[in-house]
Amino acid sequence: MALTLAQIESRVDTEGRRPWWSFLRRHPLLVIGGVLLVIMALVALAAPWMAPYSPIDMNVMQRLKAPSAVHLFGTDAMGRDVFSRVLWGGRVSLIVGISVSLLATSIGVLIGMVAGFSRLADALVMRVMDGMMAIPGILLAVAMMALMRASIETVVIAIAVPEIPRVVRLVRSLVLVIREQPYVQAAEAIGTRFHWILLRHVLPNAVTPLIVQGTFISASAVLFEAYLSFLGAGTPPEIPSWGNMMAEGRAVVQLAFNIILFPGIFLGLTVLSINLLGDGLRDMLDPKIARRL
Amino acid sequence: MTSNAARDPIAGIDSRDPIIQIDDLKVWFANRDGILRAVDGLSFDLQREETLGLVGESGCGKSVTAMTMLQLIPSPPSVIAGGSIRYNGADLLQFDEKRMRTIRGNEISMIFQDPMTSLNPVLTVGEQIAETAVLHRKLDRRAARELVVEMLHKVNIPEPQRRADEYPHQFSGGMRQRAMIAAALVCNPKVLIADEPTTALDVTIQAQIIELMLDLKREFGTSIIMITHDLGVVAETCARVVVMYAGRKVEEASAGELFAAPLHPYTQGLLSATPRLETAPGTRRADRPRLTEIPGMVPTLKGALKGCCFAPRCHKATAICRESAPTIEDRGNGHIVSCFNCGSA
Repeated sequence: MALTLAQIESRVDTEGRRPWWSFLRRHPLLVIGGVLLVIMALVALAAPWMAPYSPIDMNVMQRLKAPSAVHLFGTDAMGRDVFSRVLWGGRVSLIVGISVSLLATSIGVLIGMVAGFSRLADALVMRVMDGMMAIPGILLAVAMMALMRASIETVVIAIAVPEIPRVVRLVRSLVLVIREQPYVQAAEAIGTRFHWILLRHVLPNAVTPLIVQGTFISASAVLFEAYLSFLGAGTPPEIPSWGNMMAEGRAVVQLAFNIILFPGIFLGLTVLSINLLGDGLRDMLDPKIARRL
Repeated sequence: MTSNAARDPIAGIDSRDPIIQIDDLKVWFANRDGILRAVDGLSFDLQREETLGLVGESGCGKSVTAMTMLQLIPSPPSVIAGGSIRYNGADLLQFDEKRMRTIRGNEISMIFQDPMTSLNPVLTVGEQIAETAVLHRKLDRRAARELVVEMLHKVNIPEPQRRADEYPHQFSGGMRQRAMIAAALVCNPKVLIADEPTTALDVTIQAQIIELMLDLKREFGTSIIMITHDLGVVAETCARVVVMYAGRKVEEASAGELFAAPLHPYTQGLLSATPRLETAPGTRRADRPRLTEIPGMVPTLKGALKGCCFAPRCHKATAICRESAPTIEDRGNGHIVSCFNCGSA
């Protein structure tokens, strides 16, 4: 869109500061995704106070009720309030999403750095990573459930392990590029220690793609938790999660569509918001994408 | 000087001794195809507060020499096959990594060719200059900050207070090279290795940077090794020049003598390949003197060269040039040349 000079001038603050809403205009995805995610997080955090009923107390008299003023999202086959369960279930999804991305990124960064800097470690580590990539997450989760008791921790580990090799590959390739940069050599030439070069010169230059990758891992972890719970290999049934609510609702879908519908909507919105956030961050942090006025 | 005294750079320094003495340095690279002799028996001295030019075409071993002085070349693949680099009498090649780190940036600094990529894009310019000072002088943040502002002021960067907090992308190419010089000189090193400091800059900025380096050299009393393939830069800055070819020194002389009466055919070739602006304006293109090029290519550095390294391209070459390598001879006035066929100066 061609702008007249006056239009451009009106949009540029001569003081160098931009009005707060210009951020919204330049990064709409980031703002929408961020706001949506914050709402989801607040709702999940406020579940104990917002939820009108206990998420686990059964009430056989109130089975499979349609949404009404008493039960906003209706009730499930055991007479539990779907609205309360959806609120509580958000906690599981967000905990899994955040902890998987933190776990996978931090382990991946450590291994990737080693692989990027040592040729010997590179040869060994990358073969192990290739092997790890071949492990299907679902099988790993099922196996872990069979060995240990189902819990959120096992879900997090089962989802994080197959993600680690992806992070390692990303970090390794970034390190291989960054360590050849003249500023790394310049840092060596002034006598900087190796670990300081890693922390101060290599890692900060790798952060941008890592943040973006981290958000996408987080989005896929939320989805994956739902898959696993739906298959009965995820969150244990006594803890409500969007995945296991949908799994239980599946049996009675013809009688009470709402049991699947509402957790599904929340799941979709959460994944969408994280993905929007990731896209927005990528656009904002990438200096090559021209800053629009 | 006893060998013990020589190990300690503090004790027994004679201010007339050269600050850097490179003697018969051999840096080879080993790879699957064989051994590549990047630097093969190079010797020269750097006097105190002198600017020495290290000249030669691409791949002749100038940068490898510079990097070896700071032990910045990863080994393997590089092997230091012999020789010594004495700094104030102590052989830098014997230093371990820990001791070398106290030299780098503190005693011997380096300026790199490309200011566009030699600064870390995610750190402010001030932080990067402060890094050297914090590392070697153990300054706290406030003192380092003051020093940074002072250095930026010295390298003629306007508004140093504000500029110190800016990122490299907010600096122009010339300003980045100034910032690099500030970072190199912040600890007041005794030796500054400038590896083609002006190659990536346009001509007007080149002149400013050279001016700046000479000013700072006078102020700090730094000795400079100026690595370049730009003979104009050499003429302007250097007292003495070492001409390298294929990893060896072919000629060394004071700058005035080298330009007036080059002895080695390679140096003569280099000089006659330099364009001159002396032709009268309005001269028709056809009437202008043609630039002479040096025929042939730089020899491959694989394996040992038999005879003079320049013989295949030399118009004066005779049978003996292809058989044995010429020794380095002093032809008076410190004019050193390695050639069988060039008469005395």
